Amino acid sequence: MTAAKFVIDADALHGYADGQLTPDQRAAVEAWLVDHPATAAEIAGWMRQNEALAALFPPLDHEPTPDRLRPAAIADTVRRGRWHGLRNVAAALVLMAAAGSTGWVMRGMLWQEEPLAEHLIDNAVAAHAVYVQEKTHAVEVAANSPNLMRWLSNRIDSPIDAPNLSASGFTFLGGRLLPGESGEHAHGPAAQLMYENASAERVTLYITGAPPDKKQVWKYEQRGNVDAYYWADAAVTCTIVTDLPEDQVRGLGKVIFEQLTRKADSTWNPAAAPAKVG
Amino acid sequence: MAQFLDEVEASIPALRRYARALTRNADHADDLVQDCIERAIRKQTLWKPTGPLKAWLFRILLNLYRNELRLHRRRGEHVPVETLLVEPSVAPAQPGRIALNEMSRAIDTLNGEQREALLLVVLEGLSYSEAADALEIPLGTLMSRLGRARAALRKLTGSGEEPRLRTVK
Repeated sequence: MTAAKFVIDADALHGYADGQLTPDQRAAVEAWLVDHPATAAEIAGWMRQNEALAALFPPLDHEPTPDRLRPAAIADTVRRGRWHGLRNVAAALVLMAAAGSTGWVMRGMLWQEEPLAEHLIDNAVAAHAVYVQEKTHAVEVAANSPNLMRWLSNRIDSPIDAPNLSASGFTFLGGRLLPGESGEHAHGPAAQLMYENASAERVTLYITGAPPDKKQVWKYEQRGNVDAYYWADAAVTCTIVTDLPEDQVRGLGKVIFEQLTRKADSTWNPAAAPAKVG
Repeated sequence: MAQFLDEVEASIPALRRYARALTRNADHADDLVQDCIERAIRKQTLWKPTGPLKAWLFRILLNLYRNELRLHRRRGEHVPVETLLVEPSVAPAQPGRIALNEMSRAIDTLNGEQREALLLVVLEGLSYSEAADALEIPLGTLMSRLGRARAALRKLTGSGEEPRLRTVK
């Protein structure tokens, strides 16, 4: 910021009280306050508030960090929890190498780019963030409305049922219809279904009709503070979004996959999870 | 990874202090910080090395804290009555100073958004833009929350000597 652009307004006065101004700006504010004693008294009051808050909650710089908060120890725990998954990835790599895949094919299998999938996951995560925090208007149509699933099935042009997750402790709250898009990542309208458990943790499903190529795709991704579990097949795309732990999300994924389109012949493919060897 | 963990460790005193100010309970605060660090480690690939790590950690901490508040409200439980860490046995306010017990009560009556914003700026000395980033609000919103928080505190602590102040702006 240049000195010429500096204006003494409420923001500048807060900046002065909080010590966030450059020396030049400070001097300018101080000079101005000489002519504005009432404001000067108010700013002095703010600074007394700051002092009182700092005294009430003193810094902890010299207090030893408890062991349970040591990042290295927490990282160890996280790593141990992941070991299982890593071992499976390793097993899958060995299997593919043994099958004689060339490096190029392996690259294709492991790092397939799926722009539509990524785009739908983004949409699902964004819709989750918007509606999951709503208390009274979390859903557009409540779960007990008789035509809810028929309406959503018609609009996304694919027959779906709301999966019953009560065995996992989740109650179906209802759903809403979200717009489709045209352009590069064109897709039809989406149905969002929302579930909640007794501790008010929520899960949303973002469902669209089948993608144009009807290709099977599986993805498990972390976005911000939530996890997203995505699949596409010849009937639908579905993205599960929640901030539950990964093993729980994967468990829910299987149940949802089996019930969503009522297809007895569907093959469950747990994305990047356990690859069976042998 | 090691460098990331070192940087996280360096932020721990600040995270603990802020969590204590929000929760008024040292154990509860450390629970939040522990969850925050675990989450940061799990999601470290999402942190962009260009942004300040501290603001990102505060954002995670705030999300955890808000989620918890929401759960408590929904279950109709009460957040435990504040356990003051420092019993403020300060003599009746000297002129020009605010009694700590008065401030302690006043800060409780602020609304949550104003309290989160004011404490982040005052206790942690984050720049306004870092604080806005951590709170996931625009800069202008942060400034207006600061203004309202300070005005409310002034009323509540009735800091004596200047009874008739005109508001700034």
